[in-house]
Amino acid sequence: MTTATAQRRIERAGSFDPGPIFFIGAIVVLLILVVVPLGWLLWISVQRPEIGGVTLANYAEAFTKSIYLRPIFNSLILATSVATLAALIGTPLAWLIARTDLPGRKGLRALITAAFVTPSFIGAEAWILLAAPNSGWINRAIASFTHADHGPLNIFSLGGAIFVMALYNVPYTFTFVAGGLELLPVELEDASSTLGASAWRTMRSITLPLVTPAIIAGFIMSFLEALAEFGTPAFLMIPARTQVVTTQLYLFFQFPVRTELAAAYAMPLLAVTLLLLLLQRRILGRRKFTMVGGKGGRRRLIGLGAWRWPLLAIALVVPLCSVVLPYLALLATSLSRIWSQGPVPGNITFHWYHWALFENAPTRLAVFHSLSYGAAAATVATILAFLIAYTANRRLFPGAQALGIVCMAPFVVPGIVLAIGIYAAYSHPPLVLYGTATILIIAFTTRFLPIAYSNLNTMVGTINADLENAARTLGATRIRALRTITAPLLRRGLLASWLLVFIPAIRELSSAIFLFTPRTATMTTQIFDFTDAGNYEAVATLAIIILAITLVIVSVAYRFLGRDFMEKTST
Amino acid sequence: MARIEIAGLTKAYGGRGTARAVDGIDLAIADGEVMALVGPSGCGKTTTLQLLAGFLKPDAGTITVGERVVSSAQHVVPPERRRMSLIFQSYAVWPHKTVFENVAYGLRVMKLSRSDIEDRVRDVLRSVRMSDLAQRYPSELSGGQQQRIALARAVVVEPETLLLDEPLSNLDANLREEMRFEIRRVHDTTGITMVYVTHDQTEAMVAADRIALMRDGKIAQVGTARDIYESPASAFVAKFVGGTNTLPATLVDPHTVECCGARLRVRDDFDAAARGPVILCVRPHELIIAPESGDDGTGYRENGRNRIAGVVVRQTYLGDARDYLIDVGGAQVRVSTPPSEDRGIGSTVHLDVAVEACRIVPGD
Repeated sequence: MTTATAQRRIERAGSFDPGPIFFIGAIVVLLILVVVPLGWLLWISVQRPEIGGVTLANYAEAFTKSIYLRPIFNSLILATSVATLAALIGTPLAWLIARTDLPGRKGLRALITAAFVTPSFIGAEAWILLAAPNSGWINRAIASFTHADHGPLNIFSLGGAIFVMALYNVPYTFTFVAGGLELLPVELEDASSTLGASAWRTMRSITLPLVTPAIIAGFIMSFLEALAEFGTPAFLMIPARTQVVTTQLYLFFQFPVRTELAAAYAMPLLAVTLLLLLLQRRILGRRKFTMVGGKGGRRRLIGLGAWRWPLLAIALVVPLCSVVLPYLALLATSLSRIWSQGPVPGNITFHWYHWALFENAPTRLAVFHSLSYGAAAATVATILAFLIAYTANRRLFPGAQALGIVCMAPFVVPGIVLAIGIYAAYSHPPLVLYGTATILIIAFTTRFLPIAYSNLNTMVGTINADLENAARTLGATRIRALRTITAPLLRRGLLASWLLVFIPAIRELSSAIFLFTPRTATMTTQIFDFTDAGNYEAVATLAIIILAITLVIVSVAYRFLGRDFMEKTST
Repeated sequence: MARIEIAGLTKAYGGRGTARAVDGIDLAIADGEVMALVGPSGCGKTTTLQLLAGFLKPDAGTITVGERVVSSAQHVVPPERRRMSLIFQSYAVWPHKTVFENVAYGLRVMKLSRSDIEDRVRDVLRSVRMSDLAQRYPSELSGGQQQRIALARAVVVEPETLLLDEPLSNLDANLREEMRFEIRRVHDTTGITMVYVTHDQTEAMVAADRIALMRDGKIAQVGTARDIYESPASAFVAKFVGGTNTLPATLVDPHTVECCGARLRVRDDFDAAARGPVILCVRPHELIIAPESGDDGTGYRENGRNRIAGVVVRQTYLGDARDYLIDVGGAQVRVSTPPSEDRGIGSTVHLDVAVEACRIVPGD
């Protein structure tokens, strides 16, 4: 051994290993992000300042007064209708695209993906432009055609909210069922045909029962989305003075603020979400079992014959309503000096983009806030998820896997409920964060941490521990091995996780609305405020900016990370 | 360089006391020695290596390198400070680094100067005949080349000890031969202490100075290849190293046993105070089928050989040999004969074996 080498090795032998600090730090951050807010939520739900001690008074008030019971009933109607409609539309659409020779299947798929990445509250804004009772373009077109005073459509209603939310929930059922149909062994259907069954009978007695679990899973997913959705009901139902649970929770935060009551009122939302997700897991788990042995090789497409074009026309109605018309409406509005005049010569202008991005400081800041908070949340969530996934996978200490469960916990917490917990935990000493950017970053990080974790957990599991151990026997500390070996090997997974958090974070409304102040407004909260003020040109401009950013990122990610990239958001 | 002393080393999985993977082993490895840890899967040899490398913390016992206690139940010096390199069964060559970067990694950790690193990497790559491939990525290399990179990467940092975990098991027969030579050459040029884990007894015999044969977390026998082959301490050792027939026998006096209805003379190196049940070990190639002569006497004979009678149960032609299974009165023995020795199934044969080939081990 050369003396220089020996000398250095000996020096290093006495050096301090900072490894544990990183892992302990990760655990502390996890506590701040997940455990403290959820703990506070439970705690304040049994508190009442004027009574003191532990009390069930909040629960008693929340679940006996009829003005609070009505929104619960409305939420159930809304969620059930949305999920049913979405499943009824999504299932045949999936079959048409996955199993038949329908023309333009690729384009349809792309449009459905576009609907998937469009937040439904932006869809709601677009449909206000299209179908507001007096000013909506479709209403005006119909009215001028029929010479009536006003058109027949009223988007400001429970029915309007159901329509819009169903449109943007179709992709859930579609993705689940199309995935199921693609995995379905073609032999199962062939077996039925060889026994003399007609194509229709085979579909009814073989195909449909086999994809039923996927349909139910899609239904549950849509049901939960609809239950937790805040933006669309806020935009379409508050004007109609019809409340659902999420909008009622928002009202609890108007003066006088009743945080404790809100916490109690949010509990059923949490409980239903948890139960339905457990149910969905069971159903999907069983589905996997029934699929074992499927070769899933190349399959024959079912010929639609003369029905091809009529069916395509029907299939196009969904993306027409969820993507084409709304995007056109938003684009036209954002390019119009005054939206009600429509995109006619003389009215077309880039003024609103210039205004939003340069002239008007609040919107300019909001764009910056959305991007920077989103980037910060994505960075924190990715690093944290990576460290925790590593800790759990390599079992750095007994019970390390429990940390993974903590990381996944926010998955069952609707954004609005999480926001209440974060507000409750960090609006008083020792940690006063209300009004800061930090509280929004915490909300976004916590909310989308499960996406990053489930993605990275799988990926860390695929890295052979020998690769790190080799680095350690060569003198690298655990952290150095993590930094120089494991992280570079996972770079695609880390990038994917970052994007999977960043994309939903820049369009997150439901938790931001509880936590922002004018100094920390984001694009989404600005959209909310402009809607209140009736400034739809600004709404449309910000919506187009959000959609443009999202679509650019998604298409770039598709190219570099592969087609299965977005599908992770649905699980 | 390093002398390694393992004392009372114990490691249990699934909670203390249950399923002891390593169960109180003692082993001293001399400075510059190549020690093979050999045994069937699940015998604890890989766990022992992981304990040596510092990836696991023992439940009891110590590992001492030179004067330094590196592992005990209280404290484990982490792998990066043990001056031990490990060669993995999976190679563990980093796919995102070039050959050069793989080998340079440990030197970079040491913060050597750029020119020192380049010199040393170039030298070690030349010694494993990989100079031309320095800028390649591992995915462009064969398994044998990857293993040579792993070897170069491990030795370039000049460790005190080189640990090898089944280094040849993923290679085909030709490459195995070549790598065996390569590893031995590294040892001969550096004089490094090596601990070599393998399940293959031939590999252990070729590579190692001494062999520690493990079973159920304990060391069954330690010695040179010749010690273990010639004087197995138990039927397990005899079976595992070289393969053997085991026949239940009764010790009559220190050099005589009762076995298969005959009285046989055996090597008298078995140290048995008590008479009673023992096991007679005879290796398949040491038994020969005697020519037919009309002489049916069995037992120890004047020509210095033992003879037992049996019936052919099965025989297989293997090209360079014939493999017989012969029933010798309750027990069955394998006999390896020249291919020309052709006896029909069911025929009675006599088996001759030299006294020197009849070893006694304690009954289990």
